[in-house]
Amino acid sequence: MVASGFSFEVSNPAPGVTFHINENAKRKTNRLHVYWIGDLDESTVTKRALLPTLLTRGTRSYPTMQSMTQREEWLYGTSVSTSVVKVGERHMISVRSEFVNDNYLPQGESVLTDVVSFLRELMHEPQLEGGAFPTDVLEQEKLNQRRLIESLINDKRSYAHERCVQAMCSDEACRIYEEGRVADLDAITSQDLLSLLDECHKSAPMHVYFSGDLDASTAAAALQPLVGERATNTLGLRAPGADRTPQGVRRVEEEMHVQQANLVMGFRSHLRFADDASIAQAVGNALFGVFPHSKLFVNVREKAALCYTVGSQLDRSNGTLFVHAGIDAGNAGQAVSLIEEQLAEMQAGNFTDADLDATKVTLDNRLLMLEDNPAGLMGVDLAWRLNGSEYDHAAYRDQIRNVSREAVVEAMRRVELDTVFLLKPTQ
Amino acid sequence: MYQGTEEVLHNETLRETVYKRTHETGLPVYFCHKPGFQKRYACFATHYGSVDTAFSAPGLGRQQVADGVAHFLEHKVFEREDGNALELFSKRGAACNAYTSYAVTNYLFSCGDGFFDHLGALVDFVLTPYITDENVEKEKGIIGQEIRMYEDHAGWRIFTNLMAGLYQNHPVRNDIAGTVESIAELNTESLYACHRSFYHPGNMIAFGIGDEDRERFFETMDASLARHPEWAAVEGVEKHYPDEPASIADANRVLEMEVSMPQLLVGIKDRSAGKTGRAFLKQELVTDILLEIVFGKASAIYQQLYADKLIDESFSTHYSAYGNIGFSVIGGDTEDPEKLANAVRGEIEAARDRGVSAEDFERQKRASMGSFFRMFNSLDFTANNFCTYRFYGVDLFDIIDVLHSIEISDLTDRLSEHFCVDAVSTSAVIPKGQ
Repeated sequence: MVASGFSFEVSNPAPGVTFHINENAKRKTNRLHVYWIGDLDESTVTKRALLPTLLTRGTRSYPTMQSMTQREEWLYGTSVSTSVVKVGERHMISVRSEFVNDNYLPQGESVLTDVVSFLRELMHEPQLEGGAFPTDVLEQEKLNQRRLIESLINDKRSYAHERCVQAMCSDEACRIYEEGRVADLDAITSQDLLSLLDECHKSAPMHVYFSGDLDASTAAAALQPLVGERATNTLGLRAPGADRTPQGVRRVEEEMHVQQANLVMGFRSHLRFADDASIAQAVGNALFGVFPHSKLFVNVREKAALCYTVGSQLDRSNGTLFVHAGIDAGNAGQAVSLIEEQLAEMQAGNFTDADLDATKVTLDNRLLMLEDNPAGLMGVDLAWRLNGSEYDHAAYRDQIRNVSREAVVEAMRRVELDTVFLLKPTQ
Repeated sequence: MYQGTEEVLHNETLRETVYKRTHETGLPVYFCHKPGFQKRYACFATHYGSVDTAFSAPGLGRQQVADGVAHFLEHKVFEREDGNALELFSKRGAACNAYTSYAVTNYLFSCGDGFFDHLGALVDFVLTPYITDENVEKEKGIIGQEIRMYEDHAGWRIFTNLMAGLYQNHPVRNDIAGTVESIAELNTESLYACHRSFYHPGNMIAFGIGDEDRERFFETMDASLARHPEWAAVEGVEKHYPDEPASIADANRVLEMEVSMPQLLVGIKDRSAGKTGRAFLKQELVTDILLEIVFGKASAIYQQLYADKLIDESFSTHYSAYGNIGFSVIGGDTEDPEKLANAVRGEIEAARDRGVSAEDFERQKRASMGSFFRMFNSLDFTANNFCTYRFYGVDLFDIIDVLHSIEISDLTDRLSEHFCVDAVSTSAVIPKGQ
């Protein structure tokens, strides 16, 4: 066993703002992620998705996309991106950056202060004309957002997944596509976006993650300009939706001009981050369909040769589990029964102790390697927090190691099939 | 046992060091120590890819094998009587994988602990493929689904279609995985023939990276190779490529697919490809910097096309070279592929007349420098690219020195050499029924 070593030092520099700082000298670059948290809701999803695209179109000092890009290039190719991210029923506006650790730059050069100052402007001082986003810029980003939303069909696997979630969770917030809805775009005004930005600045819960070669207090002082002026009260977030029980199995099919069929089976797993048993379910799911020694890979791909890709993913924010397989449409019936059989095997405890141990070791190795990947750990840490739990990397590794066979079987018995979605070639 | 003495390759800017020893079989073996990293990674690569379908080998004479054989072989190498490598590594806590490009097949694994056991297993898998009539037939089903998956992938289809537009005869115009029809011809005999001809020490490289003991790494490699005493360099294997004219095959190719909006790629065929050593690396860096200056996000044409709603953030450029093959690619999503193609062609001409400004050049050099620091954070990147570049006689760590050696005249020379509209081919994907 290798000693574990990754943590974020947490501090609260202002109301509703949390800094998470990881002192890390291993890497040649620093990582900075900022998240403004909100609820995933139909009434706000599109403007929340649109706002981050406008932040990259100009700032007070760098008023055009061209001058912003030139600045990023000059700062040794600092990468800056903005986006929205969905975790469970939360919708985050995020700003991410990676830039060279000053210790690696030619002698005497430094980019840290310049990068933070650039990001502060990007977040707080967008380029405005007469107090509004320039009309042509706004219209153009609306068009790009429409294209982005429509482009979901270009990736057949993601499209099939999204369609399965929509069918299965038709009245739950988690069904909402994080990039928004085309129909909402026209009505969004510059004022809507600036109000939203103001809400982010003053009262949305804000998380700032940093990993780099600086001690925590130096880093916190350097990042302070990103905080801006905060109101004393922070916006509350909606309580997560209730757990659902499937009423029989829903079957949905859709045709498209494709070569390969995409099968997505949606299950209710009934366990979320806050449930201790969800850790046993994560281990069970890994043996069911995550790793190449899993039931799905070995039986559906290697033995039956029905597919090239097959796998399951557990969503512990929503209490759901999805199995995906790229198959020949003619084999859909066989694939569905074979996948159901494999789940039944897990639920009957038909797996060896050796396979269970291997799964735990593989999960542990994955967690160990995650220590080299600060961006990955930022995502994990945030997902736990948004679900009301705290992520303790070392403790989590221990919990995984201590999961018993009985706990795995018990947790996998909670898994129930809800929806079978098939995207198949047009006849 | 290793021949001669250990070589040390070091770059002060990147603060990376690689140790090289040559195994008695002739296999070059490399190790890079990464203190403090939890991940360990190793790869075992052969200079054999999808384009190597015609070759001569001792005892076999001249061979012409089916498209997709290198990729098919990659799947079979990772198989053994008692199971699949993916499954066996996974059971021991590691993750292994393999990929086939036009020029290279690479086998790799990553792990947290147990590195030396996995390293031995990797060597055993790569040197002892398990190929039977039955498992070849089974694999045709799995790879068939892999091919179908790529057939629905517009980003992949538009690229392979561009290759077919740029090249008249060279096998780079064919899909790496072949087709469902071409792999139907494959049998155990052809797969073993390719393995014997290309998986030998003179044609391969091994690379390990992580926070492990260097001596133990080289000892483990030696002990693992000693389990295969019959493994030896094969002299006289020759790859054959058809003559490729300087001119392109098709000026425009269009494909209809189920996509939300059209996409366009503009390719420029490199008639000066085929360099080796530092010249290869320099050509690649110079071309990438040039593409960024002319078509990158900070360029005037990018801003114009973006304002005209002809491009979005997906618009990008890159240059790739595989031995005697090289090409630049420019493009992304667009409402109007024809209009964008004309604009890009026009800019290729205009750039030749305009030349390169010193300011753009300096800025792009700084940006490239930053991107190298980012890339060398990754163990996978370092190992995979070190091996691939070695096949072209390049030491990857020279990348910083080569970048510094570039002068503005290198860019202007390359502009007139490579930015030629008669070497341009375009590939578009348009929504079905439009």
